[in-house]
Amino acid sequence: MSSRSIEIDAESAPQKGAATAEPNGAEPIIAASDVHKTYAGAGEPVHALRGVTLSVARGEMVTIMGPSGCGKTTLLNCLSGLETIEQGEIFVEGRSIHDMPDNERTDHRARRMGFVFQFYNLLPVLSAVENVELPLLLAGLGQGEARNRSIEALEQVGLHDWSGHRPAQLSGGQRQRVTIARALVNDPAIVWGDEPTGDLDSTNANQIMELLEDLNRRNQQTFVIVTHDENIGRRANRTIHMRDGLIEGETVHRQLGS
Amino acid sequence: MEELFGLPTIRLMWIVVAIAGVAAAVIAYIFLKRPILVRMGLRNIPRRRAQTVLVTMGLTLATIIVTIAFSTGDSLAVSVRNLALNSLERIDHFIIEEETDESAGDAGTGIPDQVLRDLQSHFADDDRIEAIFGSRFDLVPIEHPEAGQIEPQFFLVGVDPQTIDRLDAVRDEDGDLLRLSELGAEEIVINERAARELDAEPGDQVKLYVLGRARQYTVAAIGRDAVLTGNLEAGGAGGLLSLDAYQSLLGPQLSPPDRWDSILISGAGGVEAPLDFSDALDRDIEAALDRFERQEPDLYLSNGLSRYASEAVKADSLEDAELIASVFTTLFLFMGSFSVAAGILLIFLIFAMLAEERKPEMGIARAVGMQRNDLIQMFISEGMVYNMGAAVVGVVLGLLFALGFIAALNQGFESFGFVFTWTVTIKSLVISACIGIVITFITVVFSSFRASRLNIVAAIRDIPEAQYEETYPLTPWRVVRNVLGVFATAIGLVLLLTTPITLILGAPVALVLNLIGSRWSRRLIPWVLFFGWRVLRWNPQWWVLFIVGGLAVLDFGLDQESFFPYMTGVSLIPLGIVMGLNKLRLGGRRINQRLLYTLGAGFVMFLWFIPNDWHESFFDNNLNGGPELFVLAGTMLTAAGTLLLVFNLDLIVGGVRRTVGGIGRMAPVIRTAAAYPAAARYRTGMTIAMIALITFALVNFTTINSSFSQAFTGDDTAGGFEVLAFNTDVNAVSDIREGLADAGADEVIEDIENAGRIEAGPERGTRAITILTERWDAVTERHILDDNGDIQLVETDLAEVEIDDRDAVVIGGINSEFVDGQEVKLQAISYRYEDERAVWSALRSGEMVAVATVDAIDGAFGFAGNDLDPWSTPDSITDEATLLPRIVVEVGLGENARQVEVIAILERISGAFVDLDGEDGGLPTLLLPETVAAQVVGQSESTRHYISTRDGADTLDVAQGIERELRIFAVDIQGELKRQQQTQTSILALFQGFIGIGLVAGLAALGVIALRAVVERRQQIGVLRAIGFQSRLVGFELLIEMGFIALLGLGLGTALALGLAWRLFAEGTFGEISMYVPVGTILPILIGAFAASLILTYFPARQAARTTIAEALRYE
Repeated sequence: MSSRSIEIDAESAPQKGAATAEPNGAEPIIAASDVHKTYAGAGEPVHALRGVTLSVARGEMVTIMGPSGCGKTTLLNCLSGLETIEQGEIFVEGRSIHDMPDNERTDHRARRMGFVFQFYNLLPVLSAVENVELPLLLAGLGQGEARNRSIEALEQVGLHDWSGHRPAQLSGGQRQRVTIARALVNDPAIVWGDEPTGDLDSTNANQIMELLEDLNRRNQQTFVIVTHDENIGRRANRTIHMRDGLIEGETVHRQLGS
Repeated sequence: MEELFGLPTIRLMWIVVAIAGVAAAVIAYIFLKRPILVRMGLRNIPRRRAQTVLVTMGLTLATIIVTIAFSTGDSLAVSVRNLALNSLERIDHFIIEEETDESAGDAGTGIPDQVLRDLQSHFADDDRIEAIFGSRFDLVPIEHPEAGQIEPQFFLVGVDPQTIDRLDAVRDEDGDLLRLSELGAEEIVINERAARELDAEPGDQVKLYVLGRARQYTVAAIGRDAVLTGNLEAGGAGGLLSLDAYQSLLGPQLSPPDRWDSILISGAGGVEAPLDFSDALDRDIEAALDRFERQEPDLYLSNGLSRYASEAVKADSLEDAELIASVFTTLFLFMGSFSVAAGILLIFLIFAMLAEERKPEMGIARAVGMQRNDLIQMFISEGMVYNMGAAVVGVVLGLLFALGFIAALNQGFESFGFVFTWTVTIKSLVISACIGIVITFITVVFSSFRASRLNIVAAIRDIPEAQYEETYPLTPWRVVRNVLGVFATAIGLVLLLTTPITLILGAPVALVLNLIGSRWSRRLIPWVLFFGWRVLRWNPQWWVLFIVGGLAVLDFGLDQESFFPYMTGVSLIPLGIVMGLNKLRLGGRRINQRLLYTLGAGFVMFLWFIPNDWHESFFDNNLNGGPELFVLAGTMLTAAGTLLLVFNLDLIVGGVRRTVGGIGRMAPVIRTAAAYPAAARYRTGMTIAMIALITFALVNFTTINSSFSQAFTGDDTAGGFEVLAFNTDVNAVSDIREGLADAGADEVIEDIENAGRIEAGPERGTRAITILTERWDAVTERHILDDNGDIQLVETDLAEVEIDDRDAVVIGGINSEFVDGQEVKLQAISYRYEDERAVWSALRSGEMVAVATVDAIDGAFGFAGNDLDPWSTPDSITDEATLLPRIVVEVGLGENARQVEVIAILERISGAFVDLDGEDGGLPTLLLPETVAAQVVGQSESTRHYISTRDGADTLDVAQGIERELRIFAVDIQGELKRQQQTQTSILALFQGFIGIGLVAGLAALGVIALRAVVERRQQIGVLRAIGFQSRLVGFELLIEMGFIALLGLGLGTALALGLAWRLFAEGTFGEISMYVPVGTILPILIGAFAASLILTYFPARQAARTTIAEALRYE
């Protein structure tokens, strides 16, 4: 945790169910208000999000924490457009993500977003570099350019020598680095991370977080990370705390740009 | 059907019932001992319904195929049997004139009445015989003037009405008895076919024409199609007159009163009862005829050339019915074996995927104490429920398919007058169901063994087995154990099949009985041997089985001079070696798998693509094979081809990506679509093999059949003529133009360009007495012409030799218009003639020369296999089949004998027109100038007119005009060829449909893989969607992936089929027939199969496209 970080306890949160942080008056890249999400299962419907309001500034690294089942991953999925919502509004880079048709939303994800998941979720039949290339090819880049940029991305995460290996031939940490390279290769505005270190030992987890912090600092990309790990939470600018589908409060660890 | 593969079908039934009983006993044992395992197995069935449907589909294949084969066999057996019984009615035996080696001019003049009286007197007191009587028959044109219909080839029969009435031998179309003695002198009974052709019914007036004179008769009744009503061949129009009326019509010249065309014998007791003593009676009749011959040689062997013989016609017909049924069933089983094999592969694949899907739970089950045997039993229980369901569905579907096939067969054979009735016996049903159950059971057991082999840690963590691959050091004991196991199992299985009783009793009893030396022990020892598989059970070394088994069958093949075991052996050995080398570690490293399998599979393919001669000369052996090689070739080539593909898939995928992978936004789709099949070799290989196997069968069968069809019904076979017309002895037209002019049909004459003619001598009536030929030996220098017409100097010795081994030939005299109109190809011409034109010119100018059919050269003149084979020309001539040495034959008898030189041989296919529907079809023929033929045979017996028409003339009109005006049978050759082509096409389509059923397996496999892919890649689909794959691209990716596999299978099968066909045609397996690839037939099949694969994949693809991203990402 940075020595300059400001700890704000739960009670000092602006209001229940909302986390609004626009440090230094920066423009919010993500703005959600009164987001509701319900899953209709076989039994009673599950209200995963019950009116969440938040905003995230461009270049900010935000972590979302809370007990299991509180709706962290659902919130991340809704914000990134992977899931639809019943009520509320979500603006990403000034555009309402849920008013976009599926094709446009998918295209937006391909061009402006990157994803890092807990279980890496690499395609096992493709090599590391081929996995990294996919978003670029989807964006319509030529194969040669896509390959060059992918190799650069792998260099950034320290895996240049492993580019021809398939995921099964890599360690957990290496796989997650490939995932990060894939998430960053198309220079996205926002990187979403769902427990990106959840499947790693502490050494690897630390290295991955250092990498993410470094990339955040260097590229000024926005990171929204769901995690259970308090240590990881503290490395972000801000931590949003959730419980029972609502934002319980937030902790500002350090101001954006500090 | 009573027999199949030489085994009584009843025995076959009990064998399969016994084996199915063993399967049932296994399940009962599992259920009673470990019901929990059965329940655990069964709970999977309702969990994935789509998968259950596909599994059942795969399992039904074997049952469907076997049911179709048996039901079709039954239908044919019953139909042909009924046809024979209805046609022959009370006729059981014929007395016929039998040709002898010495047969000549006097043959075919009829059986003396004395022979009939001798037989009647000899068998007067024999209560097995109800009547012996003579019959006369001839082809007589008939006209129904009111309907304007003419039938030039009406088969008229004359018999004694009292005898026929006494026998109740003729029935009308409704099956009611007809009394022939009530027929008036001017009344006729016509058969059903004739009634249809003439559009006639009882009471109508018809005219019969003999030697140009017409006589009118009233149709008294329509008789059932039968031998006595002139239906000698199925579908033939004919009729019946009382003997007196017949004699009165034909007169003594055409029907001498002291001669019979045949003598008929009717057994006592009805239609079927005489079959019981038919063989014995046949022997007695033969013995009587032998005695008569000895007693009265002047009568019985008057011309010294033919004799009289008995033919048990009804018993023979029924035997033929059985044979036809057995042949068809065997053929269907052969063709169906591809589908059965594909079905077996599908079962393996499905079980492998089921095991893969349940790997973690099986791993946990094993971890908490479940035995491997328990897993096997669980799988078997589940498999057998599918199996039982599939047997029922398979039999029902098989019967429905058979019903369709019989309907299609009826359509195909409609023009031949056959009507097949769909039939199935209980015996066939039981066999079909049990064979299906047994095949599936065996496959399920093997699949279960394979599925149960899992590494517990790898299974629980759901990671590839390869990471936990156990190594089994190759100890001498393991090798010995494997070799012993192979032999014990093989011997046990063979013995088991031959002693089915042992299946009922158990192995322990066998062992005890064997120890105490019981006489039953011999039968029960196989059980003990059968359990040799126990030796194999733990980590069987399949490469040992392949090499040892391969060597054994190779040796057996060489010993038996049989290609089937030989080729099985030579195919298995390289694969075994490759599998063995694959286990080898050199310096701790494996040999490159791609290299090994590419070499091994490539070598097997090489062995199948080299000519048979190479195999034979390598082992200095004369190997023989039949259609079973087709199945073996398909199996081995597909196996080798699939191995070659799957071990080089990454190269193919790389090639595909380089070729089409860079197309805009499709690049990532194509990349992933091509990568998945390459990463899953087993399932990709199995699916490719299934599709390739069936495609191979379809394409190979279609190509070979179409080549035959093209050769024998192509334009070339018409010889350049458009219309063919036949004379008969009761209605001769020697000059077609004159005949038409007399009839006032000038409009028909105007359309005729050339009125060619062949005056044919008596059938088999003229002998080749002497053959003088010159023999090729590289001794003396001689000038001959080569292919280009250039003179070449070769060393030959044309020594005159005589061949004594000869046979009768038919002499045909051709007129000058025949020479002018023909476009017949010549296969070989004498070196003494410059070109084909010179040959025909010599014939036109009436020289003492002849052209011969290939049959005449090969058979009648005894050249085939003879060291005087005229094809054995000097090496310096490039094409040895184009030049003939000098062949001189002496034809005719006595003072009519003439020596003629055979100056050319008709090309077999182009020369087939000589046999087209002719009376002399298939007999060796010599074509001579008309004037020379007249000197040899005197008056011709029949004339065939070969007519070429003027440009723009309607050939059908010309044929119909000739038939109408001259009342001789005339056919539009091209129309006839088209009709034959259509018949062949429809029958071909029938078999294609049957083989194509197997494609269901390949398509079902694609469906299974696609369904499985949607499940197992759910999380990956979620990621793809998350990083920007549009939903339609996800579905499209799966479609491309499955389409890619389907294309590989279809491509491989097509390439192998065409490759093998090419080899067979190139090495002359089918004689002179050239290979013809029916692109128009094959392409729609391939496109249809590809489209079907996409349709079947569409639904899983749609499911994949609709995957909810967030849910998919959560899925584990």
